[in-house]
Amino acid sequence: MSDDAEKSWGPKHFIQNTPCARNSFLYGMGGGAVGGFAYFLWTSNPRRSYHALVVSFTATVLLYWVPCRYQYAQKRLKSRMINQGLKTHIVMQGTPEAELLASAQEQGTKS
Amino acid sequence: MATPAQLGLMDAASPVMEEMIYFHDHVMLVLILITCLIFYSMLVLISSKYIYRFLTDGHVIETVWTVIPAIILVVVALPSLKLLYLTDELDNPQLTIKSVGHQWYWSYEYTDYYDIEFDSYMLPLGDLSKGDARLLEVDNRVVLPVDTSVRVLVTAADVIHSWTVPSLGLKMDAVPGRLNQLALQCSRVGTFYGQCSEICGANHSFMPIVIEAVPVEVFEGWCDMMLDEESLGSLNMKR
Repeated sequence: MSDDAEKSWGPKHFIQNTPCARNSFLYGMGGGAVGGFAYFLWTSNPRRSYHALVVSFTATVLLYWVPCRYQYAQKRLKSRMINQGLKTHIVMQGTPEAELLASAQEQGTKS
Repeated sequence: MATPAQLGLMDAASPVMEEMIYFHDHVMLVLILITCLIFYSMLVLISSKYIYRFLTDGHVIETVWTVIPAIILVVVALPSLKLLYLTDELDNPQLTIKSVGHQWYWSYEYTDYYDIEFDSYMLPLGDLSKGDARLLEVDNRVVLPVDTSVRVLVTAADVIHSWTVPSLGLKMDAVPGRLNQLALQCSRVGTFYGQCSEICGANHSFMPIVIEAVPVEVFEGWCDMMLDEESLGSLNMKR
């Protein structure tokens, strides 16, 4: 571990190193600002506009985070399956079982 | 191993630990949002110059602040329970090893194919080489093949210990008279450190665990080496 490596901790560490976190919070801040400002234009009530800002921020963060993490989980699962398939292919290459598997896959793609 | 002043989790070396990190990320976001909401509520209340002296109840807000936390708890509990049962799953283990806690060292047994047994003592400060971790290195490491499903049976010979390897997401109490089972799979080659996690006497802090994940061919060579009659005396082994 390099001594010059920057050590982050707390929210900065979470936002820098967690997939989907940075974009969630950026979109959240933008969505909150837009939501709060729009509410202010509609009602001219600064106090409630701040409430709308916080609610918009929370909703935008969650609305981006949930689908993003779901897609990330799907990609993770696919990459594991691909890795496993490659390892199986390498291990079984040249064996009769590999030929049987290849022919079964061809029949599967044709049907 | 952990770096100095590290606060977060270690990098994952097993699929279960990866899932724990993802669950941690999920719960951390929920907590950050709740904390932001609480701080905002405090700010609004402190900055308000009005007070309602005759306030006795508020049915709507009481319903809201009961239902929303219940929903949050469900959102946290469902993945938590899924992960909890995932850690117990054992997928046709190809190797079984036994880990026995003693005061104050661990002993390991590989009895599937050959009878390999050895003790694992912490290396004292005087025996460390340059670059070795203080209080973490041992004389005989637990060598395991990478990408292999391993069953670890954990028990103890005297008092309760706990066999822990944080980067693999493993922790299991070693209880005398009881056999606890762990599922282990190292997804990458490397050396993974852990320490006893149940107070067990004077040297509780000085009985570490070191797992060395190696390719299968290297593991086979290690087994041959361990079975070599000439090295028995230098490895504190029993056979």
